[in-house]
Amino acid sequence: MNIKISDKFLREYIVTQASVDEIAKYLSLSGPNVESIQKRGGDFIYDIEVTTNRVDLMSAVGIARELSAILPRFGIEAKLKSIDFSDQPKIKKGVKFEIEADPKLINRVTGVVIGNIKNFKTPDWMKERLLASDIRSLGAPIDITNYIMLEMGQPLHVFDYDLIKTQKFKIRESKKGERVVTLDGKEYKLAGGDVVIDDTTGRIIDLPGIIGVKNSVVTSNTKRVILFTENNNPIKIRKTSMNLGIRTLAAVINEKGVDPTLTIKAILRGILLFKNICKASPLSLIIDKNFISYKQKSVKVKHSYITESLGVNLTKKEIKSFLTPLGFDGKWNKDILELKVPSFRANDISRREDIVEEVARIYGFHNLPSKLISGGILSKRQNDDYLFFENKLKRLISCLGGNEVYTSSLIGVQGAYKLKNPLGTDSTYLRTTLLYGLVEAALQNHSQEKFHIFELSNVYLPNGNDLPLEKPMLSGVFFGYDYRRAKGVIETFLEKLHIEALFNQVDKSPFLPGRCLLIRNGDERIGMMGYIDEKIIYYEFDPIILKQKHREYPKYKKPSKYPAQVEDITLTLPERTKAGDILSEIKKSSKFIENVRLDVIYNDNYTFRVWYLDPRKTMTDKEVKEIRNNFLMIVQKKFGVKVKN
Amino acid sequence: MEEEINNLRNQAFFQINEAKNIDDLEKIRVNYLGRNGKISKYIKHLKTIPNEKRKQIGALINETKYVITSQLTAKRNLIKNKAREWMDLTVPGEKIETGSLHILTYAIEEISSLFEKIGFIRKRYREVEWDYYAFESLNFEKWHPARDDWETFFVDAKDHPKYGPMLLTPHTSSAQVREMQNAIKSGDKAVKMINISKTFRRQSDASHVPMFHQFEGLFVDKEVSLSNLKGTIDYFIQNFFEGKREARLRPYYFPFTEPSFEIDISCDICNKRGCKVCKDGWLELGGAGMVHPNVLKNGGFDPKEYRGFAFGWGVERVFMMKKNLGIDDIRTVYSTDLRYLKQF
Repeated sequence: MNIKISDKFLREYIVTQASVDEIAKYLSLSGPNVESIQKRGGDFIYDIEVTTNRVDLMSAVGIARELSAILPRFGIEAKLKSIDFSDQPKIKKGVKFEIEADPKLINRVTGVVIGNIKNFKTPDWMKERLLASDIRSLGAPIDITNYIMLEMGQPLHVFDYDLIKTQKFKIRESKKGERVVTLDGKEYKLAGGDVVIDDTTGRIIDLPGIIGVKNSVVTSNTKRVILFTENNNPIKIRKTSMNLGIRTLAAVINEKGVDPTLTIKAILRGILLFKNICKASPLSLIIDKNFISYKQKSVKVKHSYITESLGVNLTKKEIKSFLTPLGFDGKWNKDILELKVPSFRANDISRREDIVEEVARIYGFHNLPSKLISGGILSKRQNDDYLFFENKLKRLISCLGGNEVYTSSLIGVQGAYKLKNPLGTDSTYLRTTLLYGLVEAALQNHSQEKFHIFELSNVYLPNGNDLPLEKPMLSGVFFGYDYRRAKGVIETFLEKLHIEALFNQVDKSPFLPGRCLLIRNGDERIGMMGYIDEKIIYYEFDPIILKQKHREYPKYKKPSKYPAQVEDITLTLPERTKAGDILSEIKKSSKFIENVRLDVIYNDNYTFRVWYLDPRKTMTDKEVKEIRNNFLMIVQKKFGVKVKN
Repeated sequence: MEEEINNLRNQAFFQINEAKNIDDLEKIRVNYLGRNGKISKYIKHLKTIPNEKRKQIGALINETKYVITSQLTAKRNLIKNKAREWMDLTVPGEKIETGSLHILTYAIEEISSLFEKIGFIRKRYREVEWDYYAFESLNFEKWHPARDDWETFFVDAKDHPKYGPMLLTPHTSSAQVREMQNAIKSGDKAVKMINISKTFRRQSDASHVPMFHQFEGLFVDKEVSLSNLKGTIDYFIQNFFEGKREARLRPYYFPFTEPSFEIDISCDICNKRGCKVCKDGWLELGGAGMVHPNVLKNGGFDPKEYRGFAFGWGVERVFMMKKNLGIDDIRTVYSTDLRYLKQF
């Protein structure tokens, strides 16, 4: 969450010679981050990012307090200024105003009736400070509430007293389907269970901590107001605010858990500002129903714990001097520091590590020395090597022409696991295959003539009631590829991994009928490839199986001293003959056939190149002829092929 | 005799003229000038020639030898020069079609190898997790905004009786407790992990995508200080980024580290002037901090004895911060356009 504060506004609470740039730079280094500085008129606006644990910094006072601790560490003096409050109103018989609240719904409610409003015009300095924080001026009564929110971090609200006939607030939960029109004129339907304020007639007059309701809004005709504030249940605020999509600054602050001691201070500050600006005065005593009894926390921490955690030797005096300006009341008891935690840090500070953090940041992270880690050797655990193998596969495929992509794990095609809260219908399911993402990527590139893309990522397979099985897959798509070239890539890929592959043509979804090739090693299936449509050849492998089957290096085979005899033989194949079958038939017909390769296909004519080799001697033409005649006879008989030339 | 020698010379000239290659010329040379060549024979006969004629014939033979040799040389050079035909070696080559690795793969390789050098071991942990590992064990308050439907993806599945709802892991920190538990199971007394995994958040803009990658360092041991964390960060920044990049550490808040801070590095795209990717000239590299004692406890390490530090940063983010890469929208990283992919 961010807060915007003008420089002039900030300097109401701190006296320092620090420049605007110095404030931004040093605050960022040791406190909340100043994301930008904007010049407006004669003033500057700091846009400050506040972390969720430090809602106390969503205020000018909070930022000033941080600066009072940080600036002196950079050699710049800084002193906090205090703010003025009204005294408790002393009224004998006030006007009627009652609050009925349920401690389960709200922590504290505080309010007062103010009347005799003589001025509705907001002074320019206040308007400018509100505008710096992107808050529009809506007349003095409303502006005062917003000003106090920016000043102290406590959101407040004003109601028109005379528009609430019952003069009574009842804090209850909403019923499902109840409607409200907020002060900006928008209508909302409530989900039920939201905390609302009812005027006891069933009429909702406020969504406390989030936004006001139109039916009780203060205008320039208002005579009397109820100045009201609460300490809310952060979870309830978050739920209602997110459900309705109402992200007011008040809601953003209240959902983080505000200092419970602030409500009364904010009301007393409000009475003072109403007096000063509107010339108004209270008409009732302050009603303050406090359901949580806040007790000051304390934390103990050893001196050595702080110095060892930082890796820096700090004296006890230094440590205390860092913490005091932040509001910590500390006392050294020998080597133990006993700290009283201020109420505005109660949610955030509860243990010694929290204190180390405060000391570390005020000391300055930039002042810490740099030391590398040491330590012993750890056991080698399963899976540590697998990731290296993945890289090897990726490098191999990319060398063979594959372009790596990362497609989304979330897809629109039904899978085993569905999201409860997807961002869109095209990202509702966890994928069970990489196919859809790759085909989509391929179609996106359809204007390219020919390409090969691949991905190595997890798919998510059903696993009973347990977490899904996250299984890595290596898949790819050849688009516009000649089939023999695509298969050649796959064959080379497996060869380079030293995996012997067998191929079986089958019928298998999602491939076109009869256009799937199962790839096996022995009896085990290691992958498959085939046509998804006429232009797209898809393949997939299980990389874990590839890792089991592959060899880093093959066993050395001594090259033969004698040259091989090489010849080309062209066969005319009858229709629907599988060239792969002929090739393996030739290969296995003699141990002297070292290699067979399909070279050229022209119509039905297939030219095979055959290498004949006897490792013990140079083969004679006669010996080669015998081997050739033998396999020709076999393939003629078995497949009915004809020999050309 | 003089006539015979003159005939021989003419014959040799004719043959030299007809010769096609160096081999032919060599044959001619041997034929005429070799040890048993036609001219050499006459030299052997010289002593049978009467004295008054011997001198004259000798001079003729020498002259013939000389002219044949020079003709042979001239022809040899001619043939050689002919072989040096015009050829354009600067002609564009026929390129081998190669593919490309994704920039994320380069980034992950580089990050893991940098951290491996200082003793971290690369891991990859779950992408789908139980709430317990993603939030509960990491000390997240029940009401923390990250735990609600607006920031984290939840899976439509039965809650685990012990570990709560099933979700897509929103950060690599979900691996912290798992890795500590695994270390103890393996008998290790320390953890040095660099976990690089896919992570998911409900978000989409120039610097956020719903699916992205993070890397998480976790170091747990007996003697660990904030200065070690700072040293590790400095090591990474000095080695991963080229040139002079400034880094700054800012206090921050994470439920699972205490103290916590964020590391920023000066923006390379706008040179610290402020642009679409950074806000104020500084880019958030990511968070870091000392492991919260509750998290150590949940991982099975006694916080009285052990301390740790952790950092978790976006892979895309740090890679986009590299000098002269020029990608300023994280959605570009996940583009499947070949015109982008093939550049890397």
